[in-house]
Amino acid sequence: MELVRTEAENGLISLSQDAPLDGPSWLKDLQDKARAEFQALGLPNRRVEEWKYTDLKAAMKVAFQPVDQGDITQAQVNELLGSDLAELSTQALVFVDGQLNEGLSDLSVGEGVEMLSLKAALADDVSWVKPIGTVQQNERDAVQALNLVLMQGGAAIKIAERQEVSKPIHLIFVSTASSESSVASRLFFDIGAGANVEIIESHLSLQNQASQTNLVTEVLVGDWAKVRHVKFNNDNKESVHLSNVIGKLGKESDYGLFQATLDGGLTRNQVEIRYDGDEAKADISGVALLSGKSHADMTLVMDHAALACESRELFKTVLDDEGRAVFQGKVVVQPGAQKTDGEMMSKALLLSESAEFDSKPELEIYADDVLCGHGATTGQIDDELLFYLKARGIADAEARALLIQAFVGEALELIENDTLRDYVIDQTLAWYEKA
Amino acid sequence: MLEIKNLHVEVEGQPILNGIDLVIPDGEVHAIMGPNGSGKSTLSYVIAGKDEYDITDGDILYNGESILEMDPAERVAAGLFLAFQYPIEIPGVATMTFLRTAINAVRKEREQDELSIPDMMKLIQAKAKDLGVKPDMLKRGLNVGFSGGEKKRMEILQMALLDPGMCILDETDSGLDIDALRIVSEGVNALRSETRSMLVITHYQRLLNYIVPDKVHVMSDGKIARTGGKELALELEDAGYAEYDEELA
Repeated sequence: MELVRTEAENGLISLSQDAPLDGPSWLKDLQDKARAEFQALGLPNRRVEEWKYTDLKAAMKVAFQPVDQGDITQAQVNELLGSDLAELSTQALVFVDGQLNEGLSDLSVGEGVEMLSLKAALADDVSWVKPIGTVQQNERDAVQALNLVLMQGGAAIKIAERQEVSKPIHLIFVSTASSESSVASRLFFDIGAGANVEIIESHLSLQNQASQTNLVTEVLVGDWAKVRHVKFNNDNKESVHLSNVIGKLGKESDYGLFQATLDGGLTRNQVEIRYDGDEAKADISGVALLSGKSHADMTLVMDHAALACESRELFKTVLDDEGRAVFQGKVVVQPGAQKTDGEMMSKALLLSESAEFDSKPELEIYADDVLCGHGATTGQIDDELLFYLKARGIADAEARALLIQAFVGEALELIENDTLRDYVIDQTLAWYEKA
Repeated sequence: MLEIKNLHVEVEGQPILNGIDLVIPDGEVHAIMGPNGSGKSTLSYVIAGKDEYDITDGDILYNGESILEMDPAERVAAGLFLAFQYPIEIPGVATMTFLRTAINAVRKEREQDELSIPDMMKLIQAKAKDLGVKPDMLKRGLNVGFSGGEKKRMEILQMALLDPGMCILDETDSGLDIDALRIVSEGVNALRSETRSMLVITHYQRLLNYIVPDKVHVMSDGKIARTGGKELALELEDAGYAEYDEELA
């Protein structure tokens, strides 16, 4: 059968003929494979089970082009971050239009922390970055395959064993383009055994132009290590933001990921966690606040392949106008992964008749001594609660905002860093005022 | 002064209130007693402005102005306050945040300056202490995990903080043990003044030993069936509601 390709697919295939980053032969081999995979798969569409509710092929009409790194000052970056985040003491790496901007970044080598631009790490064939492209194991994922070929930049970060990293590492992605642009980035973390680190990711746009982002984050979490990872994006309404976080957890490690999505065009936050060591735990949570025609898709796969691991997922989605959210959560318990403890919950609050929430929780259990549960709810603002607040003098709009805040609050509580939590709360409040 | 004139109310076509006439002058405390289903709680909700009721006839005036077109929040700013029979739990809204939001919303509507956070905290903590509301309760989600007594104390705290001219207490005694009843009643009595009126709705006479009313009304079948002094409550305690309730008679 002859494949009919869309304009976007042809554009992406043509872009992927040359990989922007020069790497060692092991990478070139992986890229050749990935290039062939993408050509065979094309963009995911509703006939692909994992993309049933997010038809990327239909939504993405053309492939935007990458742009050269634009100019931006520290002051502009700080303004985009807002005072709370800008004043948070972090070690910041700033990526401008997909390239690490060394002038704006703090690449100073702290004790037990190595940070390299992806470009330098690959050009020099640094030995510890060799797992790049192999933490991802799903060979049927066209978006991940595309990223491996198209990645323009990013960072490789290694935390030494037992290192307590004092300041959070803040990865700031800024788009400066004055017209449509695309960015493909990759992050690679190698977190040593017993290390403790906090990662923050912000995705910002200087000129609020439509962009297509393809981001893959590979995280190797060492035995007994603890990682807290918070990501937020607030993209333009015409943008496509495709993110994959792929983690491999060592024995007794503890990984927490919180993702916040405010509006945007089409956003897909895909997470794949593989439990490699016994008694590891992961807490994957997030909020999505969607208005207009924003579409956000949270897809996750928790792959329990070790004994007595724990997974916790809590997602809160608020939908206004014609907002649409998708939640697909799959918990897999491999044969022998006894004593697995998994709990997954996804709740949506619909503020409009035209909003839509699609929820697909899945359990695939091949062991007999496990505790796994999932739940999903969809509802509207409770009139009894609303009346109670109004009967205390709180006007309708403010009462609704309080109830929405209360709804998402349960998930926001999971952000451990106080400044970050306050920042996300402020962002959500700003969203209600706008909505 | 609250004036209820010939108030007729229906819910989904079903008449609940059938011509209530009631005047509560400034500084007076009136009690409404009556059997279950007589329309007592409906009356309190209608005064507070809950929107599931159809007012088919009559009017409610507060200080000479009709409140029927006012939304619930405007009624609070005007000076009306309803203490709920079943205070609602709102997880995720911290009690302190809720109190601050309510106080400032009402102050703003009354064209008073908003209180600074330190002044607000001082005010809330002082009134909370008077009512035996523990500081820990202010940090928790609104009414979440509160005992029956704690919820009612929280209602009275809100009443004290919002400085109403007309307080409606809907079955405030329900679910309270004798100690809780005493604390809540003391809180209510502390708020009695020449300018503040109260409407105490209750099924039982017990509450009226603590909050002694100027007048007692008996409600039956959506109407005021009888009005008397505080001794009427004692009479009802002995005789029950049989005289007023067709089903019991």
